[in-house]
Amino acid sequence: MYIMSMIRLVNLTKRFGKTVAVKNASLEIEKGEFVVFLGPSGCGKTTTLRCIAGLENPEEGEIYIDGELVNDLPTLDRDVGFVFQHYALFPHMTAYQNISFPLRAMKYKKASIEKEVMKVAGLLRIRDILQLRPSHLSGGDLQSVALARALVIKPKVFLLDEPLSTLDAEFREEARTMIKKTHLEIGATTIYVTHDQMEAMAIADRIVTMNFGKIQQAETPENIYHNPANMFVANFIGSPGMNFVDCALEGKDTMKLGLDGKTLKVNEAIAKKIHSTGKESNLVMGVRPEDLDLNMKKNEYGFPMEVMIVEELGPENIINLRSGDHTLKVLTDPHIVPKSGETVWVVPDQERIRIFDKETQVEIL
Amino acid sequence: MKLDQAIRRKRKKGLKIAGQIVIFVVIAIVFAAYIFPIFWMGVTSLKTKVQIFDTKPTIFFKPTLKNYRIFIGTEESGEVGAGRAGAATSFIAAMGRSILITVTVTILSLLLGTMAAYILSRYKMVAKDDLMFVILSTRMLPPIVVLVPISLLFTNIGLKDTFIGFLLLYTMFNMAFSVWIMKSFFDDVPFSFEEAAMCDGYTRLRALIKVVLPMVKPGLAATSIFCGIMVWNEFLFAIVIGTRKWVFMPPTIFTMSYGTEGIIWGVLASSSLIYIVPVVVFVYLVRKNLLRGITFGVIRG
Repeated sequence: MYIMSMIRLVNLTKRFGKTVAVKNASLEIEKGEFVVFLGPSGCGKTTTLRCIAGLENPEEGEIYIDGELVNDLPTLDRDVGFVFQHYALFPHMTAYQNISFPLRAMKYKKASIEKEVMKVAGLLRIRDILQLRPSHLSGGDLQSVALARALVIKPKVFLLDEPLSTLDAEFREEARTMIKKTHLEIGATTIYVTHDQMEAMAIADRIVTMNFGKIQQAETPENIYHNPANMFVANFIGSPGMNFVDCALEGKDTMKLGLDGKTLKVNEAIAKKIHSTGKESNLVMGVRPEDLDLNMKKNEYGFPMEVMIVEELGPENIINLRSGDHTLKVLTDPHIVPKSGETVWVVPDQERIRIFDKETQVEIL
Repeated sequence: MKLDQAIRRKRKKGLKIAGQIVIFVVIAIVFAAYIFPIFWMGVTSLKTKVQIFDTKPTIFFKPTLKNYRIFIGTEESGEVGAGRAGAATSFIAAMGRSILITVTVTILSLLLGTMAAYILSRYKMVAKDDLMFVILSTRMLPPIVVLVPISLLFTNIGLKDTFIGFLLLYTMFNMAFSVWIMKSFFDDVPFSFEEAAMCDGYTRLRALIKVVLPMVKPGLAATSIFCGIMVWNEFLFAIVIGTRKWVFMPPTIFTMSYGTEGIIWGVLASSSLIYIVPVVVFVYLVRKNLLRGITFGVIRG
């Protein structure tokens, strides 16, 4: 059975002069889904969003909203709500006038305008600031008014371009929760752009990671975290990101590591799996910082490294280890505080080791 | 120690008051320098010819409205040679013509300038900077240089002494100014405001009218003041091109207050004073819109 998706991108390509902002992006987003576009700045996430809204015209590819090809449809006919990074609230209008602005475009009656504005203002808890102008509102209120203006027309698609980036850190989490809550209440298909992986992990049904204009992986937060498609995703998601060590399989159950020739004993099961891929050298082993254990004594399933810096964060410690020029980060319980200069044995959780191809950077195991 | 601080604080306060007095005095002097000529014009306009030429200027005198009666045309100045032969020399009519040309030219230059500036600010086009320079270059030579050629041209194509001729001429003078000012104001309005309006269901044109124009109101106000005053004050082309029918206020004041016996100071004063009034009223009405403040602090970056 084919379920019609709300938004469908087919081989979307957008160039700015010689630079390619979005390259062959294909994606389907289902009705009611909360999708986050995640990636470093300049990765094409905002451009993709603007293409969906019709604020940019892609050179190639097709965009469907609710089954309809919208490539040639101007923004005003696409039925999208857009929240801009800097809100773009009109300074010469009060919050009420800002929120009712799209309704006035659709020639609503005065009474129904008031009803709709009050409804959305109640949802976002901004009824008491409706008579103020944007210059008198706090960052959080500006944010809410911008959301209200985009939501008031009940758009098919709700697009948010880094809506929290201008807020102070203390409001950010609160606003994040509010956006998620609003989404749950109205159930609009939402695309949310951010460069903050924590934010993405916290609110997304599905994360679309992008880099250099290409979609790297589009899956649930858990899958992205535990099964990153490639080294970029593995490193970008998680704080600190994944540790990488060059490696090659040697013999039955030994890995030669790119750490001054150190070796690591691995499960036969893993060795067998690597063997079955047909590629045994030129690999990269990836382990998340929390999947590394520290041992004071020699351990055959580990390898020795020197403690460089210990960062005590409260609930956990980040231990920076060194071997030659290579460093690793390990996340430990707060009571583990090795001295710097000490040698410790790093024992990876065998089940959580990921193997990448060094050339293509793609996960092979 | 405490006493020391108290003294210092007192001294500081004293300095502050002294500073304010100095500022006040300076402002008073500057203000007087501007206001005195107008005050003197007012006094002069209420005097008779004899009183004006009195070697000891009198402060207290019996005011006469004769000069104002001459302005509205109920009385003749009686001076030989005042007024231009064959020209329409009524003050009231000249005032009407001046108001008409000023209002139409201001509206037209604002309209055209705003449209051109919006396009130049928002759209990509070839050689945009060169185009802006060409527009600016129309203001680079003093108008008097082109006075004779334009006068001849207007005579040849039948625009001399016509309303359309003046409309074209003055609008052309103002275009460079209004395009440049309005473009700088449009450049300051981030494009995301229009994008937001388009997402809200507005067309480009309606977004311009509903969102962008209210935000460049200070620019519209400033441009209309400068364009208006330029037309209102224009004398050179007005006296050369507007010979009989389309005689505006500046040439009328000039010809009506020069007789064979010299300058008729009373008429000059009364007509000049009345001539100032519309400008003062207009600037007073649009002064609030000159404030730029409301667009600040909303969009950053």
